[in-house]
Amino acid sequence: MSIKLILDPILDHLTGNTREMEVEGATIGECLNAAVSRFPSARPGFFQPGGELIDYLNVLLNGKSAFPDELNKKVKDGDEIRIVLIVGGG
Amino acid sequence: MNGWAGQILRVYLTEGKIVKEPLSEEMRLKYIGGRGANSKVLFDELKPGIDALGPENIFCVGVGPLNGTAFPASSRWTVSSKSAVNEGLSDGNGGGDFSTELKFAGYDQMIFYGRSPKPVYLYINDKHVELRDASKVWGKGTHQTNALLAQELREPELRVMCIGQAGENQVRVSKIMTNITRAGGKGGVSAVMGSKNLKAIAVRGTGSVKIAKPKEFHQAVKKAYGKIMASPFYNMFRQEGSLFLIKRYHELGSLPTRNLQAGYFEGWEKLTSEAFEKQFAVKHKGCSACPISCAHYFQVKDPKYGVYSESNEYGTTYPLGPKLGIDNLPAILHMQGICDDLGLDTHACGNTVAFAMECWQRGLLTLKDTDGLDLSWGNADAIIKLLPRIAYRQGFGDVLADGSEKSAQKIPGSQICLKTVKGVEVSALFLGKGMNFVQGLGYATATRGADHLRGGVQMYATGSRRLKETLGVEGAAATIKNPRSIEGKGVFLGLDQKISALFNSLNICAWAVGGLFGGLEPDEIAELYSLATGENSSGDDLLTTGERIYNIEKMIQLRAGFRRKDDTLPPNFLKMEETPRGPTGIDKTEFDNMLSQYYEYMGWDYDGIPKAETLVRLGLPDYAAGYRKHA
Repeated sequence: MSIKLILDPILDHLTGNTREMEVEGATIGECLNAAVSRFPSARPGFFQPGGELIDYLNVLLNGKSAFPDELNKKVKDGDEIRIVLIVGGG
Repeated sequence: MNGWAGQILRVYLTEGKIVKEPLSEEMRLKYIGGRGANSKVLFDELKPGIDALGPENIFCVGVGPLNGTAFPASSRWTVSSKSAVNEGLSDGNGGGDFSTELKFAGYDQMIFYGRSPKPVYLYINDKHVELRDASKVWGKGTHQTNALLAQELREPELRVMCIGQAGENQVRVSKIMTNITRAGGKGGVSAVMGSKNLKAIAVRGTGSVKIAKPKEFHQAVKKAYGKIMASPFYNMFRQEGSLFLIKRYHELGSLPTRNLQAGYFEGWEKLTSEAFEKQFAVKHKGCSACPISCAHYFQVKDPKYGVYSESNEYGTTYPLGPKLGIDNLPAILHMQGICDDLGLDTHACGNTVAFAMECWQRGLLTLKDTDGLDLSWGNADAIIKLLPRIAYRQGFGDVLADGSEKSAQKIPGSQICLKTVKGVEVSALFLGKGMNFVQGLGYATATRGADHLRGGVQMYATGSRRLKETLGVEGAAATIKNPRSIEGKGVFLGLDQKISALFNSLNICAWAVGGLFGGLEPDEIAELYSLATGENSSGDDLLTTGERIYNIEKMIQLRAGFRRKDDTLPPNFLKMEETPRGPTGIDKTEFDNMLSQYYEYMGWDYDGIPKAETLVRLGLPDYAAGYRKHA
């Protein structure tokens, strides 16, 4: 099973400038953990110390918000997960 | 006194008189300093109905109790006056190290009255304060002004706050500059400084700031630095500064393009931090006490656009780039250099030029109107010629010098091109598919007109715990993560506005301390504040102070005649549209509901006027009785 994971541009410094990757997992949480296995430095960019998703990240599953309970949302082969940073101002 | 210097200056320019006064306890404890202290002075002392560019306006410069200490990113200063754009409040907040120098010289605030009969500058060297003849620097740009004053005063360590030719000519789309490239002043406060014949404030300070509990303070400071530097975004922000937003906002459909006619810009890749860094960045540059140093010196060697300057950021790139349809980064950097030297505000000036370019697009302007300049989108070379004409009020430049709303009065049929709230141009963001509605609500309600800095910026980290306490964990997450739902947005914005008032009154950096990167909670800030000043305050106490300041500013705005009908958005934002790239704008009824939600959270009535019980709760009982009658 292959899921496409696309990171917000602001996060790619945590993954050696890799913005898109194929990952495996049955839920969004498993897919993010798969990315962390490949890029351990991405962990603090995704998760709070207790393992919850960082407050100011939004997760889109096939273009739609996965909120609430994002990490437990089921995914299937061919899905696209996009991680978006919430930010304002300038 | 600890934290504060304990002294203010009142400068009577008409008479050439300077009075030193102790900083009052009320001002320290209820308004802190910076923006809070300045707004309080303006509300109490400005006479209603005066001309913003006349001698009766008051110009304030304020710093806070943490400036000049080791508190992280405590480098900011605030300038304020009655607005020359909308008759309400004008203020600006900038960085560098001017605020530190002013504290070292021993002052918390300067209040300028009247109008000098001839151009002057204020020279402060610790206790020595005098008004001096500015004829040598009047008519000069900010670079030369800095150099000439340092030479005249034989003081290489001098720190200078000044206006360029734009401010001298009372151009309303101008800014006040420190450290040559650190700017502040939405609403024409630089023009107010110019109207007073005040060219500059030159400061040398050799003192220090006393700390109530130095050992504990420095331990807490170390912890705060550690938190900021441990952020997973620390390295990214240090490397890219706010320029990372170009890519970010393009992806969110919110990059303001061609005078906010779109949220995507096809040339965005040429303007990213990577493009800048690869071609033009020279080395890092930071403000005082900042662990991030997000700015860069830069150099463009191409002789056509040659420039050596610093602090290229989102706030200089979007208004001179996508907003004007320009994807030529060397030209944008060159224009930034021109703006910094002439003292033109990249936001207000760029946005006003964008308005003129949309007029051109619609055939409302021709070569005959523009003195031969072709204002087609993307024509950087024409804008390079136009900028000095705005600063010197020459020909068509004079038409644009007072901002887009006043320009529209001179260009028949151009109202359709206006993108303003209360006369102030919408800056920084298009209300595109990924942008949180709270930003739009912030534009509509901010106390100085459309304001991208008082609509959600500080909330994602600094305010997130308070947001969860108020709306519950799920409610808080929902309002953040459902950007295009109105749920919880009133609380979201209200909290953010209190925090922004607090940050600008302490004069600490919203990006480094409050945004995603620092994320210090109000309680952590309160601990540092208490250890520095010896005034024990909790996070809630400080937020109440922020709220009090915001209400004072709201009353300044009400006194200018603004009511609920003015808390609105430009027509193209106030309609929901489905586009091939996602929805844009907000439905008007939904916006009205969101506005009511916000007023209720703030304790204001249907028309946006603070209720008497709100003012009493905030320790403003006198205003509760008298002000409402007046309002």
